[in-house]
Amino acid sequence: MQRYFRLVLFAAVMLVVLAIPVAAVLARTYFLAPTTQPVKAQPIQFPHQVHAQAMGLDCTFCHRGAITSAQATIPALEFCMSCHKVIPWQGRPELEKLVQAFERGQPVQWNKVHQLPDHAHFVHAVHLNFGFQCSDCHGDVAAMGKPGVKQVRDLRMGDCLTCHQQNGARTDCSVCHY
Amino acid sequence: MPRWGMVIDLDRCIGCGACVVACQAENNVPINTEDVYHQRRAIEWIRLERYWEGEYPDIKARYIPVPCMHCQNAPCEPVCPVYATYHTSEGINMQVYNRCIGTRYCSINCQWHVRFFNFWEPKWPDSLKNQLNPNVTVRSRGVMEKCTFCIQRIVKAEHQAKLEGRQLRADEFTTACAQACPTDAIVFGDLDNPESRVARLVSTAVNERGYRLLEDLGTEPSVYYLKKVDLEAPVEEHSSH
Amino acid sequence: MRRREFLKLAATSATGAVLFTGCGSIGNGNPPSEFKIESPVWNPNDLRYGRDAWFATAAPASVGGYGIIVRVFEGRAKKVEGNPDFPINFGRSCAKAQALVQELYHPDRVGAPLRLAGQRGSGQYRAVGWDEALGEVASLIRQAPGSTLLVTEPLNGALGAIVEQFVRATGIQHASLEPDERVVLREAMRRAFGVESFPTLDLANARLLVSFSADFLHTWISPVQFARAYGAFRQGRPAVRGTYYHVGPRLSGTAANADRWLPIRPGAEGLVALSMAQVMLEEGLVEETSAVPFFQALGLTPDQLATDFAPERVAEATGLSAEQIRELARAFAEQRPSIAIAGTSAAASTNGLFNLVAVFALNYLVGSVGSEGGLILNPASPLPDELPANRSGDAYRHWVELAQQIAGGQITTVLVHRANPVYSLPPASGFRDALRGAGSVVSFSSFRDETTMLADLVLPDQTLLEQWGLVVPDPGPGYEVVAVQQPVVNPFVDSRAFGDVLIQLAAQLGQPLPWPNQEEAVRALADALRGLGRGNVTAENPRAYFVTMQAQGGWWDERARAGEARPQAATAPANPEFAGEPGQFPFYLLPFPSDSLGYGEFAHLPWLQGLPEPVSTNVWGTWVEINPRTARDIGVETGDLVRVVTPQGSAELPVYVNPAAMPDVLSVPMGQGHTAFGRYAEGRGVNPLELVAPQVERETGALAWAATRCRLELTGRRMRIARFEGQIPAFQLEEFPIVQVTRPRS
Repeated sequence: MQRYFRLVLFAAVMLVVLAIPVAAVLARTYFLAPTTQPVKAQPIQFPHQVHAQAMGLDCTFCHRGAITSAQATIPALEFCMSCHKVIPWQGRPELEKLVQAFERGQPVQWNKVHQLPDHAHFVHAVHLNFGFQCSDCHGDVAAMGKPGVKQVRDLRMGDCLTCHQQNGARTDCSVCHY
Repeated sequence: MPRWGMVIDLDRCIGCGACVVACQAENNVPINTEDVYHQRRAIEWIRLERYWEGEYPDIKARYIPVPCMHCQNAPCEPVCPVYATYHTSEGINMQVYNRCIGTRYCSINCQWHVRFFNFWEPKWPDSLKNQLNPNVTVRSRGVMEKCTFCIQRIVKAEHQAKLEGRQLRADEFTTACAQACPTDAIVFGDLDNPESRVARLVSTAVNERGYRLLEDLGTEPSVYYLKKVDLEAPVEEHSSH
Repeated sequence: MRRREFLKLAATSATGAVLFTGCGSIGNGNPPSEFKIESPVWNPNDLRYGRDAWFATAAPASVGGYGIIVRVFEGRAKKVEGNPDFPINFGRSCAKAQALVQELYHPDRVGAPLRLAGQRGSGQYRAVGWDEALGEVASLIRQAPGSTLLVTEPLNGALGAIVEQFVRATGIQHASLEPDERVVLREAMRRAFGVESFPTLDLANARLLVSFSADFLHTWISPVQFARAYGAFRQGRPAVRGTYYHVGPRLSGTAANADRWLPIRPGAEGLVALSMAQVMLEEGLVEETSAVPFFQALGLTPDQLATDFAPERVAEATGLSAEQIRELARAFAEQRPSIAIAGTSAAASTNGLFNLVAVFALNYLVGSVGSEGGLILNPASPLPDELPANRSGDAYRHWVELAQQIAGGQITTVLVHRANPVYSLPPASGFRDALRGAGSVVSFSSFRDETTMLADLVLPDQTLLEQWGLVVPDPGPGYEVVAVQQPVVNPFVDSRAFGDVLIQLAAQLGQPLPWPNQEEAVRALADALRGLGRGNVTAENPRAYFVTMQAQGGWWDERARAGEARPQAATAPANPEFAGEPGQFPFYLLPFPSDSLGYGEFAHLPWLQGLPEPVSTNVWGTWVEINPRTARDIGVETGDLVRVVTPQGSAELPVYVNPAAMPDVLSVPMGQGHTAFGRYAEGRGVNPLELVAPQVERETGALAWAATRCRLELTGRRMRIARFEGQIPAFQLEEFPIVQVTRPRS
């Protein structure tokens, strides 16, 4: 036993040493997974709940680019104001921010919620055209009130590939990477 | 499934370089500064070569535009240790930038020298960045890059066809070099679509005076050349360096 | 940590292979702006988010003024393509038009009006407001309109109309600057055919083309138009392949495409042409009647031609053999339709006008003027009084006089727009020194070029992609064409269109022009086109008319063609003269316009600087081309620095041994040698005009930049030439030729 002690000790130490990076990787994967990210604060706390659920607006009513182009696009303030100029905004701080930005001609900079990996080109239009719903990737945004929208799906390459395989889409690298 | 290919007519080519600049504009190719030329690291996805033939006064200069040949048995592909260079199902030899680790084996194995390595981080003055094409990745230092047959235009056209619920039409789009070419020397298209111009050329002009660069290596390039016509060409003889 | 840096680390650490999978973090290391999405305040009608917009506009008149379309994404111009509907280029474009976006987003654009803040020429400026700058210019003009000189490019289209009105209303002087060979060509067209416009070539139906030094595929008047026709000329017809012979002192990028190149002495083009005519008439290859206008154009009698210009008599002076001239003449007469053109260095000799007239008159002999497969003349502007189309630039001789007037104080204020006389005129003209001492100099350039560096005030103009205009392409496709130019993006910097500035100045001077701004001028002139009641655009009201015109890229009427051609005045034969004693200066100095940089007006664009000159493949510099045998005799090789000495001056240039150079001709590209003009142009190469003796073309007074002799002196130093050749390891093997050739089908 004694003569193997050093070998066992060495093996044990090696196991621990090797386990550290493995644990680190797992922890990193878990903590940095897009779905575990905290909800990002937005310049205006936009309630999707009110617009999409209570009012029943379609996603593409505002995100017009989604059906025709790569980007879903966020509407111009002018578009928001087409309704909000008749909706009372005094005393409602989030709405006041919108009206002020509009009157000052100040664009609003939103924080991007759904992050795709680098070097991947994603096109909204073809996915919607195939028959996917917005909620298939974005979750039930309509039910997300304050504090804001959260990424619910992994949206990393494994996720993309699985879905592409299940739906018979091409899985060539060049479909997304170019 | 389309099979993309190109026909370049050397009898039409006038060596103007419109294809070279059009390619740089479309594909975010870094500016080839004087230093880059001195280092022999200029990046031109399509380049214009000039070959001399004869001696003064019976001398000729001949032009040939050389993009990636998109070989069907590409020698660059099997040597990549990380599968960063691979063949798409549509016959394009692609470089996946985020896989590439910069071993440069592929460029060594390419007989046509159409693969370029980013020795430096590409740099543009801030204002010139406004011109960069959002549909094309800006390659960072340490990766290979090469002609993609303007894959972003292919993808865009395929998506548009899908959105309109139809098949891709023959010649509904083309690459940047072919679109700019003032003499129509470069024709790009689907070799498998008999209605496309490139397929028609392959079945007519290519039979008559077509050849492929270093064809004897057996790599099956997708780029066909049409021989330069010369009144004084010796019968079945070729120009030399 | 970015993925790549991570990979580097991973490769060097033992645990790298394991950690590899842990790197799926979400793009940390990206610029923070990628995490932001902006809601704009307003959504303009023409801005569709996430999608491309394409706007039709026009390429600069100096590259042919053809129609282009510009891809605009999220308010930024991305890519220039040819306009597929436009009748000059049908979707084709050139490298220079491609690079227009680089001019728009150039890092060294003048961003605001500037006032000189130090010595003139020091380049120290401070920004001022537009109102202040405009007020100052207005008061300068008000003080002495008669001694104010406005320098522009040749007046063309809507901007030309505004300038003409402004000059008329304020009574200032005006001069326009264009490459001198164009001045000569225009005069040749006037004398030989009685037209004001440049000609076009129906190459698609021609069988033989003989170009006398004209670089028609790269730099000569409308290269894209000719190149497109050239493609059809070579391979567009199933049974016929057009043949192209090039006669000239340099194997230019264009000449390299010729089936046969006949090297001749510089300036001997006209002589060869007359000799060809003599052969054709002597051998009865052409009809006697068709020779009448030919003799008129040259003021010759058949006897004079027969005695003085027989091939045996001129062979020596041209550098060709009599047999070569005879063969050329026979081919030209027999392979009809055939076309003869001349240009570039042929026009830049002291006998330039004769050269051009003699060559173009050959087309009369074979019945090619205005016929299918021949030389097609272009009509004047569709609105000759309102829309200037083909105004000639002023000849060099006139510029020398202007320089004297500036130096003498008769002209006190000089306004300069887009032209760059300090660079484009040789120092011998005295223009630079005159301008340095001028009372006031105002520049309207977008860049700090050489002329702008001598300005007291700079009022930056917008680039072509930011302003309204109408461009009348010269040459047109054989019928009347007007291209619409429109802003494809908002102004990128605080600049104002030159037309707007003139209109505002006129208003301040109490002489308002008929339009409130440049856009309205364009609309008014477009409406005048509607008033003609013909052309490709039909619409009910002015608004719909203009929108249709914008969408198509212009207006054209295929039936509005040039009238019958007739020689107007005789141009007598003349021999070229050269500055410098042959004994002392054994070589001809032959500058040539650069394929990518033109005459230097494109030297500020990095794509064009980095585009190899097709024959030498050199980039980013100037060089002197020497024949290999000559180089061996002198003992120089590529990269050796030599001093080129002319009676006018000297410059050090690296040698490029060009296997196709004539033994006694040294060629130097134009376009470099800028002392200002932005970071990409400044301080590289030599401007060959500094070496050129102030020889003028005898009849027009244009600068004969190919009429100087030179000698070489060794410096013993070397210099690396940046060039493309050698970038790629040679991959040609004996058994696998790269460029393969074949005989034409018999």
